[in-house]
Amino acid sequence: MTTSKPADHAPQSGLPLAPASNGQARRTPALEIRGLAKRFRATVAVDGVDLDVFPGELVGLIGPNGAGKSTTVKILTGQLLADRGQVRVGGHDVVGDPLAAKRATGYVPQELELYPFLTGRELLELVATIRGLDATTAQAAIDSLLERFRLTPAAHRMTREYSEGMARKLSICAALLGNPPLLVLDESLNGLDPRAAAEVKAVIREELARGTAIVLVSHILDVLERLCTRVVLIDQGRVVKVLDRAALDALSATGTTLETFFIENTGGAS
Amino acid sequence: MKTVPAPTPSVRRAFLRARWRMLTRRLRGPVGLVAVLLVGLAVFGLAYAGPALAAGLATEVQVRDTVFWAGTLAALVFSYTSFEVFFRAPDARLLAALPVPGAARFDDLFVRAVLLHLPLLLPAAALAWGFATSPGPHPPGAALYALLVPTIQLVFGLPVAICLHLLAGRSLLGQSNGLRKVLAGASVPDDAALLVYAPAVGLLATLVGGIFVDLFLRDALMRQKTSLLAPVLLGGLAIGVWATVQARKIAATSLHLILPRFGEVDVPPPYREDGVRKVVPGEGLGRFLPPATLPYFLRDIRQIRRRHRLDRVLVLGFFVAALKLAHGGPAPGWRVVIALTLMNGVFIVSAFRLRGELASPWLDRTLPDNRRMAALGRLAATAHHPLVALGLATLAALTTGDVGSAALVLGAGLGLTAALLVASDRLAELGRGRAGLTASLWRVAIASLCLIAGGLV
Repeated sequence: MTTSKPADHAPQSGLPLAPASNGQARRTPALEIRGLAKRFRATVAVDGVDLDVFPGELVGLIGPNGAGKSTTVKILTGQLLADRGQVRVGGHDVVGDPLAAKRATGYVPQELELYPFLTGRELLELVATIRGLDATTAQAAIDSLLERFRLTPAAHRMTREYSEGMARKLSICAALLGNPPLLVLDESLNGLDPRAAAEVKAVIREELARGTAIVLVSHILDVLERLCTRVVLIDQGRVVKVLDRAALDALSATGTTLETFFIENTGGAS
Repeated sequence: MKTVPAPTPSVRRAFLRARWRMLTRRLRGPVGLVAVLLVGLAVFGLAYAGPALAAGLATEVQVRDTVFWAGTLAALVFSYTSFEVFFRAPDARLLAALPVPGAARFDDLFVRAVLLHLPLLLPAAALAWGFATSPGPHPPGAALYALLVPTIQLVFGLPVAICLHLLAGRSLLGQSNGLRKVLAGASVPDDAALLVYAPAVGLLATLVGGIFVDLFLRDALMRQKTSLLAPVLLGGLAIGVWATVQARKIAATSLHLILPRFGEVDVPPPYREDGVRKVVPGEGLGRFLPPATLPYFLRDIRQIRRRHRLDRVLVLGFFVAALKLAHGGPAPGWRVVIALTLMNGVFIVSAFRLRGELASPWLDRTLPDNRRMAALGRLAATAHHPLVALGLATLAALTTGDVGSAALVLGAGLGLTAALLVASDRLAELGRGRAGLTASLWRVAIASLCLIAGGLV
């Protein structure tokens, strides 16, 4: 992070908002971020971020600690208000039409919070009701998700008895309820054993195939390198580099890892 | 692009159902047994203290004075704690990213606020019970008067307080101005200035309303002008309903904006600059601790001071009360000790909060897993304010010139404070994962014990 003044919030030249080569630029984005800025007193957390994420696209957000990734995610999920700029999810402004924008977003936070005295199923039922699903649809969706994440045997246990991995999988189930067009996963592979991590990665691929747009914030760079259709590097509150799939493949072909790329292109505190 | 389903109107019911399930499960097992025992203790304390107090109230003025203070004490509590219910709900982060309609969330929190504050009527009920059952010389109608005045105060005062909190919360969405800068002073950010004053305004409104209720109910119940009864009851209810409707409107349109902004300002300015505060009150105690304990102590005392920013006001208020108790009435030394125990019982709630809302996996991960040092640091951080209160209580006793009384306050106070610290630490450890509930049970236990001790003294 810096302690400078926020910059002008016009789109930063030379940084593509979205991959132009595959024709996606003309489609409606699931997530549109324009000129996003946020400061905490003298500290500039986000400084003019522009980003579009299209259906079926997995965008990885990377950057040093304090680069502005979490602030950006908090703003786009309605947990923080931006000073300037606009965020639209599924065409809905997160400030002007928050309920529609939140219904269009499935969010898995980094620090999990569940109701400890509800069972996994009850928690999902509550979230389904909040997301506006009718009882029949909700039950079918909950059964399917629990099965998909192999949580059915634990569905009737209180979440306080869940391991961290189970809690994270339940949180992902909750995020997927209602079939939101945008999924935001903040360090969602943390705390998962290899099998569970593989399950989550499989679900990510399935969701991409279904047309869900996914934003994945992670420090596990090799996973991002393999899964993402685009990687966005944020540093000091700004988008400093965008690598599309072709660029990621080209990077890999030269024997350069995303980790090396990350280190070479970030100067902030890590 | 994928389509999103429309909302259904059953969110309110879903919340009620979930809350009921969570409450019943929390109370299962030994915790439920402890809760039943404590409720029994509280009822016993009230049933004992009510008649004892009522027996000494012979005149109309005495009855009105006592009822006024009972109502004021309740208003003092709900004016502040209703803010906590709405702005620092434990599930705020869980629900922040979910599409919860503001009105449904308001209903959920309003029900919680009402249920949480209903026990505040217990002292009034005990007094009414005392008037109804003891054959003392108190005026006719005193029992109903003692019950109705605080009840009506709660009926209109709680919604007014909530409405004021939400209005103050909405002010966060505007720009700061000169007036707010002046009001804020150095302790809170400028934009949060009105939030600091909202509880006091709510308290004032409740007390002013309470004076009118008192005047009318005095005539209606103790001077048999019963025609005034219905207008007072309906008036109180009407104000309560009006304030609830206004508050709900604010929540429906702005709660989704107010809460994120509050999350931002709910950190004192020094922390917001660079994450490192120079010194917080109480840090000096760290000089007397083993060096290995210091990081844990500093972590915990900073967390406590972030959460309890009005503690210094409470300490000063306690000193004034201790002075008053030390200079009058029977057994002044013991009365100061009981007040000190009550005050320290309130401060020591931070022991539960350090295992609940003030605990952070991030903070835990940054320090080595040294349980012994962590426990010592936590105990020292929790002990700071109780020790200050003990010093002030002793000082208050010393101002009477009675060294024996001061020694009693120091000795008994130190013993009781140590016992409270150890007991709270053990209980908080046992209730890990249920910090909120355990803290509530703790408050009931301390209040009941002090009530019984007060009756004995």
